[in-house]
Amino acid sequence: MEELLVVNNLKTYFHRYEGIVKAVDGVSYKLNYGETLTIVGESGSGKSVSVLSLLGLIRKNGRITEGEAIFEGRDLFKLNKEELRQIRGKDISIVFQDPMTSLNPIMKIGIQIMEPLIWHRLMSSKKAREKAVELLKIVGISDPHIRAWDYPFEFSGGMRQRVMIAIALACNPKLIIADEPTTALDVTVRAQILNLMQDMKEEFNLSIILITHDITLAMNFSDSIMVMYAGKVAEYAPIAEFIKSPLHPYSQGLINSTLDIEAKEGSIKPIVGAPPNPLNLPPGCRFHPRCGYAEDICRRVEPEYREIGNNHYVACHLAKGGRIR
Amino acid sequence: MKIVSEQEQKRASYWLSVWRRFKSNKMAFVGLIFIIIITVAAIFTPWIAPHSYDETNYAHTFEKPSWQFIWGTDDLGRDMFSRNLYAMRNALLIGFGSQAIVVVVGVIIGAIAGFRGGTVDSVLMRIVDIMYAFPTFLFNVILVTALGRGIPIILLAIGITGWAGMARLVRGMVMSLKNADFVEAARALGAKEFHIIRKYILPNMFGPIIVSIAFGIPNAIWMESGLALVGMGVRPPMPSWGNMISAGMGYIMAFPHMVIFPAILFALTLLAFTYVGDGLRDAMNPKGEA
Repeated sequence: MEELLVVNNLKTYFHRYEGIVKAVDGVSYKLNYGETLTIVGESGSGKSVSVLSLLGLIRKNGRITEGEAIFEGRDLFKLNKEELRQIRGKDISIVFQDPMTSLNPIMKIGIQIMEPLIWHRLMSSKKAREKAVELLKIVGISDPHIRAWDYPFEFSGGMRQRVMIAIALACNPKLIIADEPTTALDVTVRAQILNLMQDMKEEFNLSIILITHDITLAMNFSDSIMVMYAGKVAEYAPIAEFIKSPLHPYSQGLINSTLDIEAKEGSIKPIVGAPPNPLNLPPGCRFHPRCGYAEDICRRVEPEYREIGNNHYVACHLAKGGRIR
Repeated sequence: MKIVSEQEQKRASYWLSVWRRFKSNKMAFVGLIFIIIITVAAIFTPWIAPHSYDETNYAHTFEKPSWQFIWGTDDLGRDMFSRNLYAMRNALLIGFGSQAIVVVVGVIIGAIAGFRGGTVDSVLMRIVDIMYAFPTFLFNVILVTALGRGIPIILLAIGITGWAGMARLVRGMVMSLKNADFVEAARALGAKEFHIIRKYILPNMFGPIIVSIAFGIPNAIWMESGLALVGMGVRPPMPSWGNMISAGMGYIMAFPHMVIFPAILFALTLLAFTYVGDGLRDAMNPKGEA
């Protein structure tokens, strides 16, 4: 299958008063047409930054110091601001985490959907208006021709996230980045939004990068998974392979700390400790202070990120031949 | 597919819903009507007033309210009703005019500080701090002493001593809005920076700025009266509520009408603006359901 996006050795550093935060430190991933990649990790592991860097959507003190991101044959990091702006919202669009704050509170819903159509597809406002109503219908808003002219505060959280998806879909993008799209929603609405995204993916032949900290969601939803820890990739694998044999101790920890409805008391094993301070990373493997298997070598030498099986990559000294040790 | 009609688009527009919430606040609504009436009266004062503000009539000094002089006359036989109308006109002129200066200066300084940040922000905000720390009243006295006591000068003085608060307000809003989620989202959709400022940042600052103006107007009127009481306000014979009240104080026991009418009108005007400000503040916050 053909590759839509290839990211190689991406490094995004934030220059802060206290020092340099290596938020993303050598991350590589790729995404084929029509596939979904899920990036999981704790807060601050660099999962959002590793994707938002592609579009230049990082804060002013952030710098992409190294790496390339080939999107349809073009390196996104070599584009100037204007070229990048034209890709945003047209070829790549984003669904943000919190639908309650991601819509302009004083602009009608319909206008907010029309905007990217007018900017990128150069539609007349009449055509954009029809398209906006059509999009609202597609994402499951009832009475779209009336609701389009309401303000965001007249919508519930789940409906707003539907609107966000409609906006993201407006220009028929090739890639949608969903940055924790369900985190801020009620549990009952989550499934609806995910189903909607799945339907949209099939209908529009989208590729999706889903950023989440919910590993069960990743397992149900994606083709491949990337586990990040402290700015590095811990493990990267096709989802079936990952479910069968997660190799990195951190991946195993994430799976073991997942709640499921049949969980018995004591079956949940949280990962002890907290993520490291990004300004003061531990030597050797960044995960070793929290790792139950840690050996001497883990404390001294940083593990190499290597392919261990069919498209299955892991950064752990102890992972050998499809299992730990 | 059905194309949306213009009426449907107007349904539940933001300003319409603000207006609805505002209307349900009785005090604010009455205040607004009062302000509209006095503003119209102020605009047409030269045609409404039965006499000129400086037309003396020594045959009718210190007259109590009568059919000829409905609010009486003062120590020089000038018609109190006419003088009150002119005082109201001057008060509104000073109130609106000084706030216009406050808005222009405050929004420009605040927006530059907020958008540029860094050194520019630090320098501008230190200037604002100095303006804030300096006693406003004293500053006004100095400016009026130096520049004169005409209405344009007083209006200018109150304006240039009062913009610091507006600058802070605008700077704060710009700083939070420029990093707001919906601004990031617009950027992620490929919006141009100019469009973001025009459609996403500026309109969202509108409400608080209007509320600030609504509270700023009575403050400015109050300031002028304070200046008048120490003899630094509008130069007589041009009337202002401040100089009328301070002149009338000498005769308060014998001729209370010289104080009562301007004082009541003055108080009502300040109250009306304050209630309207309150009403606007509540109405513009859609989450604080009325």
